[in-house]
Parts: sequence; C-alpha cells; structure tokens
Amino acid sequence: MKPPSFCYLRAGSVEEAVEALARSNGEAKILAGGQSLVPMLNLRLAQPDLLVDITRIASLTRLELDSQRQRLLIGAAVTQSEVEKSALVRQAAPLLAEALYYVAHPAIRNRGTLVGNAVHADPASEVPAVLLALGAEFIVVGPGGERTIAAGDFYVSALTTALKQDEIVTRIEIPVVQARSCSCWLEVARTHGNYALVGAGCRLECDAATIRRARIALCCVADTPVRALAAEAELAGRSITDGRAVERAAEVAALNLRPPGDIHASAIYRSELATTLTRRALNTALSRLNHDPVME
Amino acid sequence: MSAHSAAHATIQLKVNGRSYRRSIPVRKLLADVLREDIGLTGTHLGCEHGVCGACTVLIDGRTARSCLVLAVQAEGSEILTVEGLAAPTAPLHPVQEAFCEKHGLQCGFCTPGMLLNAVALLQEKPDPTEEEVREGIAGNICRCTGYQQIIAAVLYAASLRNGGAASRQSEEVTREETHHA
Amino acid sequence: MLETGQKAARVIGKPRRTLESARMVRGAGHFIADLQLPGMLHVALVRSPYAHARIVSTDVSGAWEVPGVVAVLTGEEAAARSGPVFSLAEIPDPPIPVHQYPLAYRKVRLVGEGVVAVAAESRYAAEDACERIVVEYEPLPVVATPEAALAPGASLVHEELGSNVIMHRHLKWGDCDGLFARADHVVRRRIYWSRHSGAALDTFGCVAHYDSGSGDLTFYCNLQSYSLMRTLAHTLHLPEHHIRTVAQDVGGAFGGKFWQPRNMVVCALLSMETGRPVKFIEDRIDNLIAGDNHGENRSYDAELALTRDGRMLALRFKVVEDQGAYFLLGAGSNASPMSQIGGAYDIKAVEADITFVATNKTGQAAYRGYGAAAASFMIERMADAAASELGISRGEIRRRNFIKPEQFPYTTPVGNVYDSGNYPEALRRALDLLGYEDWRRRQREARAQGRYIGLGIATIPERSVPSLTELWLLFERPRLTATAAPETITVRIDQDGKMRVGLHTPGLGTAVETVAAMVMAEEFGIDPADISVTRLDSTLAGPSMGMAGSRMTAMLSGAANLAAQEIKEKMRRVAAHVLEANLSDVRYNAATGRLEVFGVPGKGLSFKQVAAHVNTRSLDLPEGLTSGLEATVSYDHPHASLPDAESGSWGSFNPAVGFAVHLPVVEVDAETGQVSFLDYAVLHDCGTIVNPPGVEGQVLGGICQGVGSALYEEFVYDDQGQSLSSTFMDYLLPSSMEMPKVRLVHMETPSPFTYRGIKGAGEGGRMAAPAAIVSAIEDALQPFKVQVNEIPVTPEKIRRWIREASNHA
Repeated sequence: MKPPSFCYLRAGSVEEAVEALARSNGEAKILAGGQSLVPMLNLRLAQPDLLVDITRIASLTRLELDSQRQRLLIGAAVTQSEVEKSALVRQAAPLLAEALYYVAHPAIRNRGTLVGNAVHADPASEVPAVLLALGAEFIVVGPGGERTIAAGDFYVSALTTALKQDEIVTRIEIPVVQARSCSCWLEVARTHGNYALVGAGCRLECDAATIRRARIALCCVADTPVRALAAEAELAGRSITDGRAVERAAEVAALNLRPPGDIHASAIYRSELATTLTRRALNTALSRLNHDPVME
Repeated sequence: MSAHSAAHATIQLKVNGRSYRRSIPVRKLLADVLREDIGLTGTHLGCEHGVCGACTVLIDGRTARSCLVLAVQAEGSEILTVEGLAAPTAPLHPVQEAFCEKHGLQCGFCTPGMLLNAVALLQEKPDPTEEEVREGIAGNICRCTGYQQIIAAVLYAASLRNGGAASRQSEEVTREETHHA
Repeated sequence: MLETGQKAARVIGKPRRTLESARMVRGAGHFIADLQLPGMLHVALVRSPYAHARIVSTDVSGAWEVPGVVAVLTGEEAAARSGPVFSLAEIPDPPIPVHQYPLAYRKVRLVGEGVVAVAAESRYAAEDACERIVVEYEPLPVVATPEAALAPGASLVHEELGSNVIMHRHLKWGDCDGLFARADHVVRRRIYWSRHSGAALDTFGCVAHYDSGSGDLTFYCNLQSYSLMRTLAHTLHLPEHHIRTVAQDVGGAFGGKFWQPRNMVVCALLSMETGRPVKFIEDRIDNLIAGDNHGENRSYDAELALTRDGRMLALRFKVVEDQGAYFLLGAGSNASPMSQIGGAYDIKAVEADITFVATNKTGQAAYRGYGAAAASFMIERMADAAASELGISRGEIRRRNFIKPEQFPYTTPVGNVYDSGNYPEALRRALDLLGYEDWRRRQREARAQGRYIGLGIATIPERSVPSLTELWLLFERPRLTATAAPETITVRIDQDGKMRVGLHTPGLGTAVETVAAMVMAEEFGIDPADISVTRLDSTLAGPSMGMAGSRMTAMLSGAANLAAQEIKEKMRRVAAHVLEANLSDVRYNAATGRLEVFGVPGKGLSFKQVAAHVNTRSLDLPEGLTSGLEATVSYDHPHASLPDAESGSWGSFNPAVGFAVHLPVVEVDAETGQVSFLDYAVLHDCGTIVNPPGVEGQVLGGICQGVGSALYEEFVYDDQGQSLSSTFMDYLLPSSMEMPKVRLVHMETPSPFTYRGIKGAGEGGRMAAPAAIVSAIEDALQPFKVQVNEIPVTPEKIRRWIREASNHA
C-alpha cells in the first residue's frame, strides 16, 4: 500500500500555496499534518498530481487570542496536540480541548492539524461538530482574496465543503464566550481512539439559575455535523436544574435524524445513542457549572 | 530543497543525531526511507494506514507514525528511531532494559514503536500511574502480550529513570505453590 | 524414561530474561521485510474485485510502461509452469478436487484473490504497474454464506467438486442414541462463531532466490514450520533436496504462518524467470482479505443430554463450517477440537455431523486453537444453558460433571487422552482468587441501582502437543497416513566449553530459543551466557513438525533432554577414561556442572575440561569414541497411538492437556450496549512451567485475542462477497484500553508423559476467554432474559437484544 506518484511543493507563503492550487486545476491537494491525506494516498483512494505543503508558512503556525475581538485564532498549521494542550484553548474553548482527547491517538494528534481535520469533513469526526457547536468561522484565502465562511455554511456533505478548489483555510476563529458557561463532549466508539459511532457536544451559557443559550452538535448522525436546533430550543430559558427539559432536549435531538448504518452501528442504534449521549453530555455539562472546566 | 515542485528530491534527514543526504521520490514514506535508504530496519510496518503504531518514531521529541509521514516532510526535524536509544555495543537505554527485565515483549515486532512511545510518555509523565500507562500505550497495538507485561515494563522503566525510587508499580501476577497431582 | 516435574529444578521454573529480547529491544530482529539482497525485486499483486468471476482476458501491456518493472506473471502462465499448491484436500483417497493455484487460474473465487503478479525494482513501482493492468472479468453468482452455497442450484465455487460441500462426515462414539433416549433433559442451542484471524503485525512475506548455478531454490520467509516446504518441489517441478528454507524472526503467527504456499510459488517462478531474488510482503489488505489465514467460522446446532440433576450424558452436534474458497489446512479445524470436544466434562458419548462448505471468501487456515476456541465456546455455552434450564448454578453444574482427579489419565469417547489435571481444585482456587461472594454481593447492589454487572465462567481443558493422526479418521479413507510429529535438536560443545544449540524449526515469536537454553542450563549446570542458540535452515534440519498446537516447549525440551543425556553419557565415558575410574562410578552432577567420581570427593573434571579433552585429544579417548561433543536427536511424540478404524477410536493424538478457569466480571451499559471489565481472574495450569513470565505472556496474549474475538474482531462480508473489513479501521484489534487487567494464578499438574511434566500453554487464553466473557454478559443481562449464543457481542447487538426483550415484556 504505497502512495501513487505525485509532485511536492513546500510553499513559503499563503500566496504561493494559492497560486499552486490555482495552476493545478483541481489536481493539487494541501498537505498539512497528512494524517487524513496520507492514509488515503497509501490506499490509493486519492491520486493528486501535486501536494502543497503549508506547514512551514510561519503565519499559519499561530495559536493566539485576539483579545480585542474576543476570538481564539488557530492557524492552519497548528497541530491538534498543540490545541489540546493549550491553556488558552482550555480556558477559552474547553469543549474543543475535551473533544480532541477522543481524536485517534497522541501520535496522530502530534502531526495532524486542527484545520486539516476540520477541512477533511469526515462526518465521523469530532472536530467539525465541535466547531459547529462553538460557532466557529473559517478564514479562507483564494486567488480573489480573503473571505469568511461560518461553520454552519462550511459543511456541504461527506468529505465535501464550501471551499473552492483553489482556496485554502488559513485559520479558524472561535468566538470566546463571555458569560458563565459549561460544556461537555461525549462519544461512543468501538475501541479507544477509534472513530466515534456517535458523538455529542454541548456548550451552555448560563446565568445564576437559567440556561440562556444552548448549543448542541452531533457527529456521525448524517453526512455532515448536525446542530441539534430543536434540542437547543428546548433548553433556552429553562432552569439549570430542570432534568425533564434535558430529557426532552435529548429526545428531540434524535428526531428527524436519518443516521447512516454500517457494520459497526445500525441507524436505529445511532439514533438511540444520539439521545443517550445528548442527555449525558447535557447533564455532565450542567454538573460542571460551578466548577472550573474539568480537564485531564 | 528546491522551491519548485518535483517528483524527486534530494533531502537531508537527521536521524539519531546523524545527518543523511538521500535522493528519493517525494512520495516515499519516512518509514521506507529509514528502512531502505538509511538501513535502519528497526522501525516496522504493520498496517500502513496509521492504526497499529508499529512504525512509531519520535519527530522533534514527539511520537509520529512514520507510515503517515512523507520523508520530505521530515526534513529539518530530529528523528529518533529505536536504534537511537542505544549505540550497537552500548548498554541498553533504561526503557529497553525494563522491557527485557519485565518480559514486555514476545515477538518483538511492535516493540520498537512501543519503546519510543514509552520514551515520549515518560518524558511527559516521569512517574505515571498504571492507568496513565495503559492509556498512554493505547495507540500501539500488540497481538502477542495482552499489554499487561508491557505496562509493568513501562512502570519499571519509570522507576529506573527515577533512580530506583519506589514507583507505584502494582503487582500484576501472583504465583501459586507448585501443585503435585 | 523422562523425568517428571517432581524433581526439583535449579533453572526450570524460575523467571528468566529471554535470549530473544536482547535483539528485539534494539530493533535488531531479522524480520522478512527487513531482508535486502542485491538485485532484489519486489512483487505486488493485481487483486480480483469480484468474489466469483471468470477471467475473460488479461492485458498486462500497461505494466511495462512503468519504469522499473522487470517481470509480469499471469495466472495462466503460473499454471503452465507450476501445479496447484499442497493442501489437506490431498489427504483422503480419493483426494478432494479443490485445487489452489498460486494465482487465480481461469476464475477467481474470492475478493482479493491474486490474479497477476508484477516484479519491479520497488514495491511502489510494482503497485503502479498493477494499476495499469486491465483484467476483464465475467462475474458469476456469488455464494457468500453456507446457506447460499448449500441452496439447490447454487453457483459452484469449484466446478469439479460438483457441489459446494467440500466434505461431510458423520461420526459417532459411544451410545449416543441410547443416552439421548434415556435423558431427563435435553438442552438445544444454535451457537455461532464468527470469522477472525491472528492478524499478526508482521504479515506473511518471503524472498525466493533461484540460483541457476546450483539449481537451488532458497526461500527466506516467516513461516512457522518447515514441514510442508518439501511439497513445493512437486508444485515447482524441482527435486526436494534443491529447495532450501531459511527461517526468519517471526513477528507473531498464531497459526496463520504454518503454510503459505501461493505467494512463495509466485516469487519462485519470478525468480526462476529473472535470476534475481524476488520479495513479496503482504500489505495489510493482502493479509486481511486474501491471506489464507482466517480462523474457524461456523455454526453449531448442539444438543446436550442430561439427567435431571445436571449430569451430562451425551453430546450431539451438527457443525457447518464456512470454509471459504479453498481448503489449505481446512480439515484440521474440526479435527483438532475433537481432542477435547466434551470439554472438562465426563461425557460418555459424542455424535458429530461435520460439513465443510465452500464459499466465495478468504480461505481458512489455523488460528490459535485451530477450531478448539469455537468448540470450547460451544460446550461452555451448553453448560451454561443446561445450568439455566435445570436451575443449577453454573459453577455447580461444572463441578458435577468435571472429570475427577482419580480418572486421569482419562480417555475420551473419541479416543484422545487427557494426561492429568485437578479440575475441582482449580475451580475452587479460581473462585477464591476472584472473591466470588464479594462480587455477587456487589452485583446485587448494582442491580438495585439499575446497573448491570455480570460474572462469567469458563472451565476449559487446553490440549497441546498434537500428532498428525487426528486427520486420519476425519476422512473415510485417509491416504496420507503419516504418524511422525517429532522435534529435532542439535547441540555442539566446543573445546572452550561453549555450547551451540541448533533448532531445526522456525519460531513464531515465543521464546523458544530461551527454552532450549534453559533446558541445557538445567541439565548441564552451565551458565546460559555460555550457550548460543540459532536456527538451522531446512537443508540441515531434521524431522520437525514446527510451531503448531502449543507443542514446542514440551517437544523441544524433550529433544533437548535426550540430546543432553546423550552428550552427558559421552562425557562420562571420557571422564572415566581420563580419571581412570569405573564408568559406573562416574556421575554428571548438574548442580556443580562437573563429572564426579562417586565415593571420591574432589576427584572430578569440569564441563569445560571434558569438552576440551574430547575435542582436541583424539589419541587419548576411550575405545570406540571419536572427537567432538555433539548430538542431534529427534524426539518423537511421547504418547500418541494409532487410530482404529474398526472401533472408530482416534487414538491418543493431543494428550498433554492443561486447564484454564476464566472468571471475568463485566458491566454492561444498558443504554449504549458497551461492555467494560471490572475484574478478570484466571487460574491456569500448563503442567510444569519453564519460564513463568513466558507462560503469563501466553495466557494474557491469548486472553487479549479472545477479547478481540468476543467483542471486537470480525471479518464481515456482504452478500456479494465483498469484504467490509479489509483494513484495521474496520477489523478492530483490542488495544490496551480494551484489555482487562487480569489477576492470574498458576497451578501445576505435571504431565506424566513429557519432560518434567511440561504441557503447552499457547492457546488456552483464546480458547477460554470468549466463552467466559459471553457467560458474563449473559449473566449481566439476566434481568432482560437475554440469551447469548454468538460472537462478537457488539454494543449494537446488546442494545437490540435489550430492546427486543423490553418489547416482549
């Protein structure tokens, strides 16, 4: 299982990368960590003419807080390990740090980039769902310049995003919530580090007694990550101790889902898990409300 | 390396402290370059799709699956393979010593990847609990040992590194008196 | 007469660092993929995308456009130059017309079957070339299950066979009919065992090198036995003595590397054509879908006749084996389990209806247990079922039926012998280790909280040390009736007193070299550091069955002991001569490593002194002795007996029988169906233990593969025979997080037949764990009245069973 032949370009700047993509007429692929791309190359499921390596572009390696706009900025070359271990991320977007624990194994996270995972758009991946829940935005650069795509508009179908073939994501921006909030990511996977069968994450912004705003997202239940809007609506304005609201939210989270079935999990089983994991994630998040985010 | 795109490249790889200059197809995986072009066959290939961990090396001190890294990507980094843990006639690295002492291997195929993972783990957590070790090696598959003796070996390695200080190693196995039928 | 475990040992039984670990921790093992020879070519295969199809045409012209391609071999060309490979289909008279060619010849019978081989300067180039080869197929109807294959008018996997039944046998021992008629109670279950394989991280590989000068064909490969290599002579039309096999370090095998002829023939043909060494290493997909290495895959319709107080009388079953497309080592997977088909229980009669069905899937070989894991699962599920139906506890029903200590050596109805054991004591100690009462209490408390904890039990004999005779009466008229299952060893001591031990067999990743060294250290009282152990290649190797059926420790130690005795005898004669003492007064004292004269303290010679003398002083040797201190000894199976067609007895063919008691505790998350382990207690008895950490490693490793079989691993096919588990993304191996923490105690009931009472220990973990784990899951789900008679037990299935049970409630 060896990769097919291709050319390799180590881009020195974003412009150079974009130019190479534009010239290649769709036959080039961006290489960051390679943890999604190289297995596909080894299996010869992808046969690009050119790989454009963006990991040496300095501007893409930054992980920082834009304190003015209260946004977490994660560059395209930042690895998932860096994000997971970052004190900044654990403070500003604990749901992301928590979910990253479930992504494969440390050796994969040491190389794989957060943006790479997000852009790969695997319906079974945690990262797109988390970005959806956190209201993230993708900063995209193409031959025509820069544009912003909200996470809700980014995911089109399995392995397919709103990116044009000559555009690259240079960074992801995550709004930092000012209010008191709690979050939790939970999933069921067959084996540790394996793809989730279903994953559910939530972030709840609360005041002293009520849930002001809930954001809930699921992976593995459709060909894109799914915002559980109906479930969110069930919780808005509810008391933080309203267990029945949590139950209702969990039930409606699975309504109208048509999850895929495969050898690891049937559609019915995935629907059940959607409800179970939503309920458990909500309850765990609420139990954390008075403590600092609980991290390993 | 040239700024132009190409299917072949001449690269410099720094492996176990030594520099190697090799001309290779850019598609060649780091694992294959280590094994074939540099002759370090200790890094093994078990799946080539990033699941089993047999190909684990350290790149800039962090674990990486060398079957999922193109050799060209590793230019400029420090790579550590199992051969770098101890020179051929030098005494074993404490982790290697611990694996021998605690029977942390049988066939030896997963062992190089397991050792490097253990080295990285102990670097980050010099005195891990058994649970931390069990989780820390979860990315390396072993079909022979059932992991228990590997965990004991890593805990023992921690105690060796800590200069023999008492570690929280737990006793995995007890042995009964010989029974005479 | 060999010594039993009673004699106190100085080396045997004490933990020892293995010889093998020294090189493995340095990454200095010599695995087949590491081998580089000058001019070596690399092979990749074009594989069939269809499970069943006629090969209409093959256009290889595109392959030659790829730089570095040196040779291309189609199935037609291979069949013109070689015959089919040897398989167990040749054992009966007449042979079964199921032929396996090195590359698919005229038609393909499974997805992934190799159709064309390309040899190129690199594997990368060979794969490029394979992509450019165009094969035209005419798809044929697929039979993907035994049901489909047995249906009237089903498409035939092997036309010459005339049906998809490769073989069918109906065998009876004892008065089954009578016992069933008189039984108070009959338990009936359909039990399903899914498809797995060892999936060793080191896939099968070989380098074939034909030397035109000598006419020698050399194979470097990671086979676990040389024993069938001679059959390649017939396949390749070469004389047997011109085929040489050089063992490599083996990165795990679990039975799957006992016989791997197809790709060796492909490499040989390419080497003979090009004159260059030719290497093929299975990649992971090659290995998982087309590796001829799948384990047993079957359903048992089983019936157990009992008295009302739970005494087992007779066992009857119909087993349908989903064999796959070929029959490489097929028959053995239902022969080997007959060695212990009644399990630990004193069952007086057995009736077996065995059908091997051809399907369009990967062919089976042997996987750790060689069918006995499934058979043990079957008998243990039946025992649990009987307990449930009769209202007796699972432990008690076992106690009532255990073969009693005084019944050993015990002869089963089939004819095999269990040499020794104390099953009641083993169970008692295991329950004690577990803390059974405490776990029962915790289970009750958990149920009150709506949590589901389950305690499981499996009590499994673990047969080891096979002879070949189990294959005789499986066939109506056996044609190949070999009886030899020996092991050979060579020992040479040089003039410096350093010992070299030559093993006549490849290994498979266990510490066989260490066993040899430990026996020598024990018998001679020498320092293991003065012993080096190597493997002879097949040119010099004597009779050896190789690594199979957990035989090696017992057989190798038996051979090593005989060799040691032979050498010690020569040393005695030399010492008597040099010391001018009576031969009968000269003893070898292993405690001191010296030849001593009885009654004359201080008079003696060291091991080194005698070694020096006999190697260098030919003019001062006793009459009849020559220079050198060496022995090559073949040790035959210590307790095999001939099958008897008239009585139907299979004789003694797997008599070194250990015992394993597995007591897992699981918790089932009723909402997600996930299973986690809370505890796992094991008592293991493999007779006399040579190297304790080695045995522990075998038990733990076997449990891990058993966990995989029970919960995670399965080769799944769709109805068109497409493999849905062709990578490790879908064929799920247990990691350290899936493996329970096991608490293990040993018991030693020595064998009366082997050196120091050693028994095999390699397969028991996998034979016992799935039965025990399923027993625990069923116990956990008891409030839902769920019966579990299949593996794998996935979260999906548990949820479905709970849902269905709740719907019926």
